[in-house]
Amino acid sequence: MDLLFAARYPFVDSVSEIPEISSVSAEDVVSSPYMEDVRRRGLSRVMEALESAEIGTPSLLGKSDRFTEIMSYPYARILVSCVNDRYLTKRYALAEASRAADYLEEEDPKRIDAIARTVGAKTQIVDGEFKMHFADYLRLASRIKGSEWKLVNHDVGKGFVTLPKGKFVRLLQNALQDRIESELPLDVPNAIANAVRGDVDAISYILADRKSRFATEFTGDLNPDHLPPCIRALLGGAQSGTNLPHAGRFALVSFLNNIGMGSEQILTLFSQSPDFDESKSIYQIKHITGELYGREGYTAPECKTMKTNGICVNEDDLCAREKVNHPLIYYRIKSGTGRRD
Amino acid sequence: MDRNSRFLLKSFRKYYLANAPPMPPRYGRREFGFMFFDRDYVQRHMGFQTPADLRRFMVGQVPSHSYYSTAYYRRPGAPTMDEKEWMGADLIFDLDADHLEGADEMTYAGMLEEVKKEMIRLIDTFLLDDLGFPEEGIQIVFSGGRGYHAHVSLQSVLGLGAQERREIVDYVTSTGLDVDRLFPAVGTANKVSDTSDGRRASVRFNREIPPKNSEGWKKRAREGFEVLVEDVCTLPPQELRSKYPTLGKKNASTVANLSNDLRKHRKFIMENDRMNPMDTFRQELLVETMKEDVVPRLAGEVDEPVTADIKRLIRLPGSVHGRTGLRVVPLTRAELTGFDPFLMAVPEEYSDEPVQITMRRPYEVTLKGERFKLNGTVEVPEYAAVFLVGRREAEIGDGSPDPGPF
Repeated sequence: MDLLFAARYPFVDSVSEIPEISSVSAEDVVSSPYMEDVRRRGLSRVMEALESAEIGTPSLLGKSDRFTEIMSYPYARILVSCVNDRYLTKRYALAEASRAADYLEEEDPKRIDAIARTVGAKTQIVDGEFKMHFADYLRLASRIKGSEWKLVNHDVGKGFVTLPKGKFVRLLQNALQDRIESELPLDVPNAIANAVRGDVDAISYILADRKSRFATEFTGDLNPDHLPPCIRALLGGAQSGTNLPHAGRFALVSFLNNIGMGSEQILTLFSQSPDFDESKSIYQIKHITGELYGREGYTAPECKTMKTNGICVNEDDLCAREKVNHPLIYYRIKSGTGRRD
Repeated sequence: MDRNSRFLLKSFRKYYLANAPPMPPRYGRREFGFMFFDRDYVQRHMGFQTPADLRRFMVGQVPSHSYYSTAYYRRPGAPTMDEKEWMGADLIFDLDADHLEGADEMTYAGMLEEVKKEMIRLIDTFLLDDLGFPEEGIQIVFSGGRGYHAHVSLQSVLGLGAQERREIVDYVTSTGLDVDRLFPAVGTANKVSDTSDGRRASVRFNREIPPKNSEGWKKRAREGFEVLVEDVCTLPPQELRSKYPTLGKKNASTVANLSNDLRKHRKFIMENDRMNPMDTFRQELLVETMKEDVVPRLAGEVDEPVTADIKRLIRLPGSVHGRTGLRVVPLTRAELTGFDPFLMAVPEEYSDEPVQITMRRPYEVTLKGERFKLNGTVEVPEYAAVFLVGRREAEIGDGSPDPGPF
């Protein structure tokens, strides 16, 4: 493996077999004066991820550039592990995967194949055609919405989905994100953790600040016990930092708005999402609540629609009652509030 | 328990004494569920750790209906779903007579024959060709009731979530299929002309058709298109217009012109995989006919909720169905073709001894090759009595009130 490849994809297992890399100890990385560039780049990987969910791609022309880029990856992982915050970890994994995908777009099929193999996806790249086993395709594509990602709109034969390069790389990005996230946090020895305390504190400070900006409390009387199981699941997902599908976000925002929450309050709930983008989110929320145009917002989808969209989950006895055909009816019964209209 | 239930229970026990249901793969991780002749609830959350445990249960309790979970759990016997801890689930395709058009007018046997045909198409076209499952990776089951199931227990699909399984259903049923992707309109510069503000090329869009060696939906669309072209070129107008309602809605002359034009250019179109020689209106008419009339006929059938449900109980192969007495029969793909449930799913343990029954209404059925045309109080072999009483077509005895157990 050459250093350039390793610098682009430092998560590949065989990177640690490169002599220049394997000879460096963790102690060196965190404390050697010769590793200052490595630590600076490592910290910026995490900070950039935190602030914009993206990590820039520096020049990799010289050998030392490449070395710094490679070694900064394990350093960044030590930092993320020491902070050990679910939101940060998810956002960092997203940014690292998207950085790698930017490089992958430009690679030839052989190299893309090499990366595909490291994430355990069953793929075939033959004569410039990119193919992925349909089960891997579904696992990686189901979180991306839009009819162009439906399985039915792809050529499927003998178990494999034929994909254009761009889509194939986009799916690898999801797989990389899963992998990077699943490896964190690392078990960091105390001596190492102490040595990186300064950088960890800096990240924690920015992280806390970012969270507090969105942490205004909902002061209305939202009792989670009154929420229907579908909305409870979506809310739980949003708060634990899971990426919700579009239909899920729409249902959650419109529902919360229908029961009286304002756009800002709803925004705080979404701020936990790993790909959270404040300006984009507030726009989407205000679109649904109608605030953007100064008119009435959308009404939350009925149970039938929720079912079609696959977000009707954990149906309970109350859901099963004949007249309960809408999440809002469930809420009104549970909370004892009358119909609004 | 009334005398009908007592009779069925006795026959079922004879069956289970001779036949323990084969254990499904990874049975130690599955939940089992049962219904009984003398209890009106479903007994769920049961786990069996050995084949002998299940056999003892079947012979001792003689359930009327037996199910097992398509899902695997860390603790299958735990009372709540959370405690069970889901580990994965078989991928299930269920086809039954409920969705059949005109099922009301069909006999039970006629319905099952239709469902079997659809099952064969589902397996051959979608499961083997497109999704690429190996034949031995698909277990086919006659449900004992109104249809067939296909179980896929391959490692690659066990972890799929409900949403991902729904995508497979959409693939099979052509839900959300973009027909314009299959017949893309490709723009080519047609005519270049000089105008006052420079040279202009007028762009003409021509529809392409999926090439011969395509796979998946493109392959089906190609085949469907070939049939459509053949029909448009050769069928009498009346027949053509009734076979394709989209053409039926057009003027007779429009359709006649389409036929003439297509006969002229057919060779070019099929060889070059594009419709260029025809004018745009006729190209669009063909694509619209594909969308509205042809593609829906190419779609497969499958029961969506069953495939999407990752925690479902499904009938246990090797058990008998409480509403028919028929065996839930595991089948290979080769066996499915010639499978006749009325010959092959009637357990041998039900005897030929005559049993007196009273029909609720006149009924005809062929079982084990023998034709029964029944009305009133009659004597039939035990195997026929089990089927008829199970189906609620007859009652045990001469029609006088049930004396109850001794």
